[in-house]
Amino acid sequence: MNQQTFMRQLEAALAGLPAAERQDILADYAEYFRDALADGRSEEEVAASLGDPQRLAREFQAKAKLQAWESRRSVGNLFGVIGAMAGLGVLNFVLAIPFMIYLGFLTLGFVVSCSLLFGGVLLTGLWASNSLFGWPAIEPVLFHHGSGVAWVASTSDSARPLVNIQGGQGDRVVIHRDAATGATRIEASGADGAVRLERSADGSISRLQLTGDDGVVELQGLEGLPDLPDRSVLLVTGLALLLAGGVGLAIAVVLVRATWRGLARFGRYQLSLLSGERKEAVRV
Amino acid sequence: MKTQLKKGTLEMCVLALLARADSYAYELVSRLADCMEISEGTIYPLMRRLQGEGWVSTYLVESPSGPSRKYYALTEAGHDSLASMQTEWQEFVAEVNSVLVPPQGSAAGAIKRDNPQGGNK
Repeated sequence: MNQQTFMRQLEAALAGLPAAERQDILADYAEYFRDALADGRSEEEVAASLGDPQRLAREFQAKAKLQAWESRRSVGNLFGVIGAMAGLGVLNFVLAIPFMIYLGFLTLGFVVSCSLLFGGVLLTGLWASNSLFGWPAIEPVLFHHGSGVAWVASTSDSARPLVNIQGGQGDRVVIHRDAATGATRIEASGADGAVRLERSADGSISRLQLTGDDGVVELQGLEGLPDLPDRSVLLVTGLALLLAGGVGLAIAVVLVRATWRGLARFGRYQLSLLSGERKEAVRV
Repeated sequence: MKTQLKKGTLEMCVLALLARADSYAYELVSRLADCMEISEGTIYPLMRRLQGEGWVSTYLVESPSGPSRKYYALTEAGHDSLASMQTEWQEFVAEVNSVLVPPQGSAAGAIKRDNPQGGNK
């Protein structure tokens, strides 16, 4: 291999490096050829003792990738470093696979922590908004009352129906809400009987009456439906999620930074071993 | 261990050469090749690493015939790290020598008695 071939192969293999750095490296080796030729050596001999230009270029590339990643630590840059190191044969894949799994878990931890944090912010925000503006309403409110064959009740005109009662031909449905006491009465009566449900202001079902051809069944003093979680539950859950997400995220960030530092050190160390390794190879 | 040792000594030798006088790559390689086996192409990655550590700075010297030549000079930090490397090296050599070269006098007996203890550790 003569000087021209060596330099051409080196230049081709250095593609992707910043132009200034590439020119600097090429100028270095050109200078070396000049000095060596002035020393009375032949181009072929110098090219041979300089080593494989592809491998030299890979070393420069790996170093540049490591530097790029250290100045801007992104996942994309990290894979560039791993690729470059693998190309040099200094990355042990037996080590790399568990490391990748570890990175996967770290990413998962990040995502879960962020989700918890987001949920916490959402719930706490809902609590604050509900406390300040009464919106969104936590308890369903029956806006409408009236009577007809079918009746639909919802928290507002546009919201999804909360109660949807439909009677058949000739049936009659009544929903009545007493604005003063807060009590609600639902009646449905048809040819074959009637249902009457009364809900008192405190949420308990005060009376359920079923009327059929055979008679009347009437239940009183029933327990109401379990109350919807009140505002304090919202706040406590929100704060717990915030705490869990925050702690998780902090741990993840600390781990990532420690990993980054360790990885950078490992990378520099591996690169620094290269000159020693190649000397062995040359001797063999 | 071996590669680590060689890598460390190569860096140290380059720094030591530069401590004597500023030099350029070909001269450095020629001087080093006298006393150790070195793959010539690696001098530039090595010099870049030393530059990256801030131990070595470069400057160009215009040559009357042809392009300018890049000279390397030891920085203040380079002098410091060379000094600590030399101290470490001397200590290391002294430790190895203390094992390789048996002390004078009752050395043979002492070593025989010490060996089983060393094995138990």
